Amino acid sequence: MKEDKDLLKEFLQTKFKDDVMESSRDSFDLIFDAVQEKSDDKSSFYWYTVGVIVLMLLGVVTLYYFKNHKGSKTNIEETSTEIPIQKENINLVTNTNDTISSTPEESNKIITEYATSEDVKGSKKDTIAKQIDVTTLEPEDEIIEKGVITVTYTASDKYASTEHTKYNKLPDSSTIVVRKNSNVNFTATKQGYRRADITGTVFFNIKNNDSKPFIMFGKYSKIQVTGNSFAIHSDTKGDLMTLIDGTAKVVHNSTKEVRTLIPGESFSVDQNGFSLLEKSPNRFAWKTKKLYYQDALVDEIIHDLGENYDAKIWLKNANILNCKYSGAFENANIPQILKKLTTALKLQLTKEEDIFVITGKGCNK
Amino acid sequence: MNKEEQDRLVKACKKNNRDAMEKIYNAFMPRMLAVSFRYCKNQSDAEDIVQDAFIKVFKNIKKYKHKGTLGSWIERIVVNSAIDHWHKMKKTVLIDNSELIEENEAQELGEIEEDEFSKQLSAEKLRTLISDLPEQYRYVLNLYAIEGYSHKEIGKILKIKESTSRSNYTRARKKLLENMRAIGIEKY
Repeated sequence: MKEDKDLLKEFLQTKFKDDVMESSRDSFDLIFDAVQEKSDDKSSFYWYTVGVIVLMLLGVVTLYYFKNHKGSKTNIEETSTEIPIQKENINLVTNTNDTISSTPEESNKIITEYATSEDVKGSKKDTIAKQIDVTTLEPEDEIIEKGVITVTYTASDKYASTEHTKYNKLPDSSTIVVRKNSNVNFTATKQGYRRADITGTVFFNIKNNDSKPFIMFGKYSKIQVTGNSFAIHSDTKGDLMTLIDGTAKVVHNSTKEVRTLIPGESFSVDQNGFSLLEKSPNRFAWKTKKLYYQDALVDEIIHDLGENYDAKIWLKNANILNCKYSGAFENANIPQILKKLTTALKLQLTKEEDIFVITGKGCNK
Repeated sequence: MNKEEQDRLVKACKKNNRDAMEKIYNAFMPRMLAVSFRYCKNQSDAEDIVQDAFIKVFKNIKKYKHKGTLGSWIERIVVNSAIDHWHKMKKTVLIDNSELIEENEAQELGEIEEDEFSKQLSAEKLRTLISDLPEQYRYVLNLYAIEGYSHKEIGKILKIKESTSRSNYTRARKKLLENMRAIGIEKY
């Protein structure tokens, strides 16, 4: 037995010792750009820190001024409540749009307004919580500088559970849900457009504001959305999007071709251009409540269920992954989906605590 | 690429030299793609892993202390990126019915057979056979048999039980040998 193990190991190690493969794409430009992004962050970190310190000093001076002169007590409280937030974020790095600038008075004004919007957030949270289990999160990174607000939300595993969906309110009152392994970097100015850079899967409920267009930046496209509901996934393979409500104009980054999405429509955008999708991608099922499969492997279905509903599924036999299924699920919950799936594939479904256990013979390849 | 040339390029990379980075990328990418592909079901995922890995390589090039070869340092980063990919994508937990392996599940590779496979089975074909294994088996096989991790270490890396790693390896080996033999039968 031991000798046998060593033989297979030895065989595999020898076989793969100098193994090489030809790549089908040249990713060096993307890699170099990504490496530079970090360098830029580092070099601008110094300036962010200086900016934040200046803002803090301004805050202290303002406090001192109001304490020693008769003035608006409301403003004193609002400004002072913001100071600890600035301190907390002193070590955080994020991107801001350096080309947009404004006066220090405007910066203070935004800080005050942000404090007000926090109150609004607090009061609205209760309303939303009655509909679904909602937690509103603070952004991980937040920089308020030169009239520009930038916030970053990075979803870790703890976020995207359907039982505790995290609704994040952006500074412009739009609401987002950031799914697992996804990230949104949002920038807004007082006068300019609203920009959201997206990696992974994000759902938006956009606050309509005709004077401040909301533009999403995916890997291969830019999307201007006019209220209301939009789902997007962006990664190195392409951008996937579904417009649930409102209107959206999509511009291809390379070809500059422009397409308009109508509610219910879905696009896939990659380096080759646009493709209109017949169905909304399954990765948006969390929002659309629709899953559609044509000869799909159980492996793929289980992946989707985990991705959208955090379903914990154990298979007792790896051959189950080889089974194929065709069918659609609409507005179905996990037990209903798994019941239908296992019945069709002649498998057995049981539940152990919060884990769905699937047993059965499975299928051969 | 000799060691002196590598050292010169690493030094230039530390100064953020684009040409040096591109040379290192072009020199090591084919090897790294082959390593990454062993952990994936398709080439597209393998290329994503390699892309992530090279971003990490260049972002952390200052940490490379010239201990061991540059190639093995990059390879380690590729394997770690593949493991990160596993944790991101993992949605299915394979339970083994029993942690005890049945007698007929322990497959053996004979010396003569090994010799035949060495001559007849290309690395490319073998890669495809490995990529056909269920994901967890594939990771355990790669980490144990090729990267040389112990089952205890694999348990920690993949967040599975040590005994699960052992039984997964036995079953992965069985499946792989069956598939290798099936190809052998077709050939002769």
